[in-house]
Amino acid sequence: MSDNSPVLSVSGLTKIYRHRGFHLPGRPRPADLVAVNDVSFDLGEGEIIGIAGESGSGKSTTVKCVARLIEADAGEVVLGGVNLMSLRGSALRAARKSLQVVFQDPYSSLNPRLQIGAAITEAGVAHGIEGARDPRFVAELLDKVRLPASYAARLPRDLSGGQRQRVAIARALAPNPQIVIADEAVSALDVSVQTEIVNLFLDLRDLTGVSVIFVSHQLPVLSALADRLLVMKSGRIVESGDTQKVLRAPEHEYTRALLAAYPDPDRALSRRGFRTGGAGDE
Amino acid sequence: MSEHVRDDELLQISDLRIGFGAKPGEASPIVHGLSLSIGRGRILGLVGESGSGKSLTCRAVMRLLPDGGHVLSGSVIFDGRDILAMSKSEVLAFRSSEIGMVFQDPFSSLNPTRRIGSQMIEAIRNALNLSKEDAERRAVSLLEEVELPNPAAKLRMYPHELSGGMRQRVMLAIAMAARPSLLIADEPTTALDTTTQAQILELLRRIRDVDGTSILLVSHDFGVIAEMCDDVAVMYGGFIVESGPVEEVYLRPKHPYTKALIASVPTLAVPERGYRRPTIPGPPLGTTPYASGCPFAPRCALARPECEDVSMTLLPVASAHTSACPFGGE
Repeated sequence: MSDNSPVLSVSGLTKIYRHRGFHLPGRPRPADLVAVNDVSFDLGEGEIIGIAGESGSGKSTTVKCVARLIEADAGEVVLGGVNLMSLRGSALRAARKSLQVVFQDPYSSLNPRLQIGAAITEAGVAHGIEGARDPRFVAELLDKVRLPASYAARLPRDLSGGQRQRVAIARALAPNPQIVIADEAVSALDVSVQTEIVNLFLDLRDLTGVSVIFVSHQLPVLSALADRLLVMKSGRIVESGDTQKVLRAPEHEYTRALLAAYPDPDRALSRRGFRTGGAGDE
Repeated sequence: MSEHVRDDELLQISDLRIGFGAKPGEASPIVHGLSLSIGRGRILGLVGESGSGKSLTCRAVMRLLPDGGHVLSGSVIFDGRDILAMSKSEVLAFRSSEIGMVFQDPFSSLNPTRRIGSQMIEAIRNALNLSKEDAERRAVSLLEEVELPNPAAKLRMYPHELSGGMRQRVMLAIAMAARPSLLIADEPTTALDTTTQAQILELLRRIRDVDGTSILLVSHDFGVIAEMCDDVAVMYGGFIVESGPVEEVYLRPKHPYTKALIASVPTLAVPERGYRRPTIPGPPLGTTPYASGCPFAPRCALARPECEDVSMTLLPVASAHTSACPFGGE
């Protein structure tokens, strides 16, 4: 966390999916969908922000608008003094160097016929990183995500889901970004592997000072990771604040509902009348 | 686990070995001599990581192993009959009427080009000998049971018009059409939001409470298991490494894998800055071939040379609680 000026400043971000084309005659025209509604937040240097919410809450659309993978209808995204929304072509590509995205599905985000080393090199070359073709470049990135250098010669199919997600993170780190956006990056993984990836993000932040926006529908994943939480519902941020504060004393009804729905093993067993000793819960 | 078939058990799997290969003779084993049983009206959780063999076990029970998968040995006794010894036509009749199944992905288990109604009516008529009209009435009442609002209108919809939670309710309704005595639910809530997951779990619990249906619930999430199950079997590398009443196994785990799995479960507790939740070290499942002994030994902090010779027999720990670690996880 940093007291300095934010690395990234999002204000008034809005995305509307307008209803186009055919609708039945005589019926009212279907309403437009406001996927992201006036979302504003700052991201500090070395800060990890968690965005929580359910399917359709607008959390993925928000971060995709921030990365300009989707065009927003209104709002500003200021990175290093520049409004990303106004950039085009090579200037936008250059700005993307500082802002990288990791997606949910480690099975579809890697080219199945490209060796891991080549996939990482490709990410470096695409951003014009000097020395990206050097095997040492690949080895260093693999080391950052705790994979042995020998993995460079493997294909995605030889890797487990967690290992593939590490490779996706290594690719994101290739241009040495200031910000990594992780969009449900652990949702497809086993619980125990989720924890590994969460720990990896924490280590990377401590090591490199990278800022992270981590989108997840699982509050427990964010509890150990995020410094600050934004809870989204129907395109709006309904609650935000220090992770500890939001989880311990949620103010919004929706946050409370999310917390109550999570199957915590200790809570479940004590509700069923077993003595749990309370470890882990509270 | 006992070798004898007990009367109060609905499903009894004994020494099930499943392998993959072009022919059964060349198949390399993935599930190694698994035994488990589910009592009538009980919910048994099968927990473990991807690749541990949970889904293959479920599919073997349904005789739905994917191409190249073979049952190498063992028996699956359901209500006194060996499913593995049934003929194809017997299996077909049996599948639609005695065991229901729901899978993880409600997006791919329904046909996207057909209306919910026609898919449900087809399934219902396969399971029960009903006229089209009766099957449609039955479909409406089944959708009411799984708490889908406005069921008659839902029958006219296509799968893409429903949310993930609604589709999973439709799948449950289809699975329950013939009032099967066993429901196999393979990661039924993994693809769903937390609040939707809570609703589907509640629904499963009610199916058990009202109909007395036994449920085999597969999950990689100990939270879901603790919420739902009476008993749990922990799988790793094609073996059951520990089993027993869920509270026993969760609160007093004996196998090092169970301990590590439970410790790695994310909770809502916010740790101190700099804290890292424990993970399971070493090569993940499926990246190294299984040789002999305990499959978890390469990742076990407590491994010793003897682990290579462990037979993976479940040894009693406490009443009904068994563990395959002969060193008591110490």
